[in-house]
Amino acid sequence: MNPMNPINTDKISDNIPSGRPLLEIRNLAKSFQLANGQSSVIFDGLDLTIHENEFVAVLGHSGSGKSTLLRMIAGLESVTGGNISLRGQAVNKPGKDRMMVFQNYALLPWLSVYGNIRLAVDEVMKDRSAQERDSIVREHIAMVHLEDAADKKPGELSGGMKQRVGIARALAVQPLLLLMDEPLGALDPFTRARLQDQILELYYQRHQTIVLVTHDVEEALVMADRIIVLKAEETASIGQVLKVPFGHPRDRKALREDPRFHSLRNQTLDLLERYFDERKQKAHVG
Amino acid sequence: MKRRHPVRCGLDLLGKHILPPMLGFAMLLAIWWFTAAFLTNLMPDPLTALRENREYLLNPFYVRGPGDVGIGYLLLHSLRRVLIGFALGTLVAIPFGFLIGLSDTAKRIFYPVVQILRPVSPVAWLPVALAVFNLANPSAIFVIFITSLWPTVINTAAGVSSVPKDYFNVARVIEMPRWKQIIKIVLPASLPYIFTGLRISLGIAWLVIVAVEMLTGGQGIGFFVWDEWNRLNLSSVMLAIVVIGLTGLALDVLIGKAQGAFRKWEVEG
Repeated sequence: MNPMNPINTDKISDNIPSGRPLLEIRNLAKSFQLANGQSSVIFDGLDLTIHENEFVAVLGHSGSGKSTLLRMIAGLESVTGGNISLRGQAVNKPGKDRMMVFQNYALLPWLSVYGNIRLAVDEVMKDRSAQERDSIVREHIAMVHLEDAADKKPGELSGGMKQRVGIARALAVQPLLLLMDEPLGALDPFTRARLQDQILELYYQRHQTIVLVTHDVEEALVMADRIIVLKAEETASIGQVLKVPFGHPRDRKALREDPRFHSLRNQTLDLLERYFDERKQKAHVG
Repeated sequence: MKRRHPVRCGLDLLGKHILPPMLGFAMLLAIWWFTAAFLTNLMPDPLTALRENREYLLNPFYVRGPGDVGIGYLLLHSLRRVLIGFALGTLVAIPFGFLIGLSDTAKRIFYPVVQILRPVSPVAWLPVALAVFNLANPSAIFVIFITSLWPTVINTAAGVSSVPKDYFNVARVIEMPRWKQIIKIVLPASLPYIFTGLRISLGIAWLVIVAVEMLTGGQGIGFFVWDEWNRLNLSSVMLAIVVIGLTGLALDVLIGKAQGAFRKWEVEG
């Protein structure tokens, strides 16, 4: 390996993931009924394929429909047209094969760390014995390094710890697809960086397919294989798909020194700014 | 933490937690004394009242016949009515609050009814109850039942409808059935609100029982007040006021303790 460039470059040339398609979105449409009777169209004919073991980031400024897209994949939001299918099966309601990590953690405050994860495991793995479920919960608490906090209530935890519980809860039920809705948005930069590394580690260990919604360009570049940049004009659409040329596992420090990282970051920021300005102009004209 | 001198600590306790309340009670006694001395001949001053109530205080549980029992027994009778009425009211109010909180249709149907009945003094239901039950005791319990409904219904409904949406989203992604969501998520999430409703209900029930018993007669602290007034025995009335106050405080402290256990997670979500 070139000593000047310590990043693993194995996957650079072959960045389209080799995995089979896991999630297929075809001709997706979504509109909301507004209070004045008119409808507001968010998506009109969106296509996207996510492959097994792929880490995809969906990037966009607020109002670009990125959270709506994720919630439609989760089944928490209805689709107006088109279809979403997971391994060929149509998706139209929430399900344990697509677990969600929420921005504001969504932990039940009266349950301990253990209790929150156990609730999900009990519900999804009814066929396993209580002992097995207990050990699955313990294993996932250990996976996010929260053994010492297992009996604490969410109110006693920091934001970063709460989100680790959220991640452990989502992974404990062994979903095909992990959906993360700005999971680190409420955290300070240092905690955020550490959690990004932890999420990446879990991604390697478990070969977990992940869709991450974020507005943080660096976060997307550090973590994802592919970045879907959404652009919101009258309707939201995929503005550009960026292939991230860095292989895994990633070293944050090495990335920071890589000129390609900087040029990609600037390029993406320019793109987002342009989309944002275009939208503002349209809004003024309209 | 800095260590503090025990004498300083004791002085602090005295200055902050003992002397000020005593000052308040002293003012109250002064007003009482002033009223008794200058405004009416019927009222005994505090010392006289204490002397005349000696028998009641020393022997609260005597029984000298159906119409003449100690104040402790009277209190127990009133408490019994309140607790039965409150328990029945709670059994109806919590499920009803859930229904209104969970279903917009149910809310549209029932909320106007609740809004109109809520401001009605529960005592106004007494004639209705007497007409139906023909007996004083069940009627009194019915009035307490009505009293206990509204605050619990309204607070339960508010608690249920303010359960964060994300909790339901979690339940939906793990495919938890609706009935289980109500038990495992909605109920614990709204417990702090439910307890607030229960606390208000019990407080008002204790206020109302005195008025109800004045009207229905029979054994109870409320009728005792009215009966003693008819005998122009204001010493006993003053005693009853103190006893009613202390009991109400005790009830509130008890339910407050139960509520305190759930308060911790009220603040964060």
